[in-house]
Amino acid sequence: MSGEAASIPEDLTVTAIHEVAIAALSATIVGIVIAVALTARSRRTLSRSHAQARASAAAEEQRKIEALQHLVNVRLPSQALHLRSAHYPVPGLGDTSLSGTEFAALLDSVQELFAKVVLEERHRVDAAARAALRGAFMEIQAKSYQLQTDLDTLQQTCEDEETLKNYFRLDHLNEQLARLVQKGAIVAGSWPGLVRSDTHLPDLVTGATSRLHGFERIHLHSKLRTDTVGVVGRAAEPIAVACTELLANALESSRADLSVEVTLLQTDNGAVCIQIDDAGKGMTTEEASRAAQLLAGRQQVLLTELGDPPALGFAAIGQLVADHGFQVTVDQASPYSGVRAIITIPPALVTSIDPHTAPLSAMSPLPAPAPRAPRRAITSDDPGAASPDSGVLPQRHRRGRRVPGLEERAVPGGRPPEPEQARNTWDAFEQGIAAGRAGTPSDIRNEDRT
Amino acid sequence: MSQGQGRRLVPSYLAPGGSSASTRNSLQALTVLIATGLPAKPHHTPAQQRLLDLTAKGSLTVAESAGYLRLPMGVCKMLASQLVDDGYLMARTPLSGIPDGIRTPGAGRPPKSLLERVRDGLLTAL
Repeated sequence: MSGEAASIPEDLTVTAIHEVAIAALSATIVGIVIAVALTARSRRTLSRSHAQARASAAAEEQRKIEALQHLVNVRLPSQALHLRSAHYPVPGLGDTSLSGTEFAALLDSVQELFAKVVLEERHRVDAAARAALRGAFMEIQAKSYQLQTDLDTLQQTCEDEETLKNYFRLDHLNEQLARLVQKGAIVAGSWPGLVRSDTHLPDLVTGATSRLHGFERIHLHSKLRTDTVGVVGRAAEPIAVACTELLANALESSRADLSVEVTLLQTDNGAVCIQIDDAGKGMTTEEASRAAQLLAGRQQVLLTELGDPPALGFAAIGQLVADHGFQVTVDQASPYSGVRAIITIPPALVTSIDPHTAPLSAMSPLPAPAPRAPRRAITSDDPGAASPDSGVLPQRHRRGRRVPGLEERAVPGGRPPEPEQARNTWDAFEQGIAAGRAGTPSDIRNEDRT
Repeated sequence: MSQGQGRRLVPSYLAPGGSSASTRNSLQALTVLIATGLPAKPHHTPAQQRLLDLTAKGSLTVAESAGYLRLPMGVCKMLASQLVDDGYLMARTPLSGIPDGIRTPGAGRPPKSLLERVRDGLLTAL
């Protein structure tokens, strides 16, 4: 109201003000328009860059999600398979644009943690399974040995042939049972379950054959030069177990009408070898390398790695090899196209046993006949013996018809010769050597050489 | 037999091998076994070969053989009766005694050590 009253007397001023105001207003308007225009422009650019940023963030998010999906769907399952079987490949980060970022490192650590947890858990479960098996097997083993003792006692007194055969059958079944249980117990981390005294090697291998179904197919040959070769007590049962398992493989991998040849050998470095040849199909390269790995006994074997049903034989041998220091190889081919398995018993585990105080079992293989040759020559010089004329060449005799002098010497049971007889023998031997040396002129020897 | 030396290692069922043909069981502890002269064959088990080796040097009773082989008497009888059936051994019942023509180890006057070993064998087996 007061503005209207004042505007009438000051017309000019008002007009001028008006113009100024209009000018100012227009200027302001222009400014505003310009500002608005500018703002709009900057807002446009701003929103455009915002959109770009948003788009790239979304893309990265998408890549991360995809990498995460790759981890969950591909990498972790592959890792699980890889832990089960080492030749299964484990893929890395799927999208290489993420490599080197913190996110990729996080994903890797997830995978590592996953592998670690799976392995730890597997070992824990395996140890629990082994403990359970060990406990059960060892108890069954103890009962089986009690049964063995009882059956053996019954056999000592049994006179009836049919009953005896029944006892034999039961005894053999029990031996097979004891072998299976003992093998399982050893893989489960137990010791062989019994201690032996020093044992003749032929007895040990004969005992090993008795634990198998089809032992009649095993032919045992001894090429030992003496009948004193023994295995020290602490290694006796472990070597028997290893031998049993190798024999079992040989029997299983060859046809039921083929024999398995076992040879006992001595080597020059004091070691003794048990050589087992079968005529089966042999092993593939993979089987052989797997066997060599298990037989070396260097690593802890998991029950879950032994297949279904678990193949315990080589794993048990590996355990015994690691504990007792003998060697087992199966990497050679036998002369009959199968596998040649060799147990090498180092000199530290070999001992000498007097066969007079601890005689060999009647079921052990007879010693090789070769070393008897020089003895026969000596007995022909015996004054009491009805020896062939000295002019006749030495002849090979059949087993059944011996020189009578020899018969008297070879008392059943392998009693040592009488002292007087031994003295005479040595006398004759030394005289013979002296006569031989004195009677050979040097020129003849020289002629022989040229 | 590894009595007194810990657990048994070599069981007796290895002695007769796989053959399980039923044999006539007329042998007694004092039945004398005499070799017929047929040599042992490769198919014979070591125990059978040892029994043939023992009797090749003369004649022996079943009980003595069991002592030398350190086998239970029943097992030794089983071995012997198989070999008798196959013609490798002859068996003479104790009543007929030992014929003159057959030499026994240390004929007539067996050494004391042999008698002791026979006694030990019998004690083990009976």
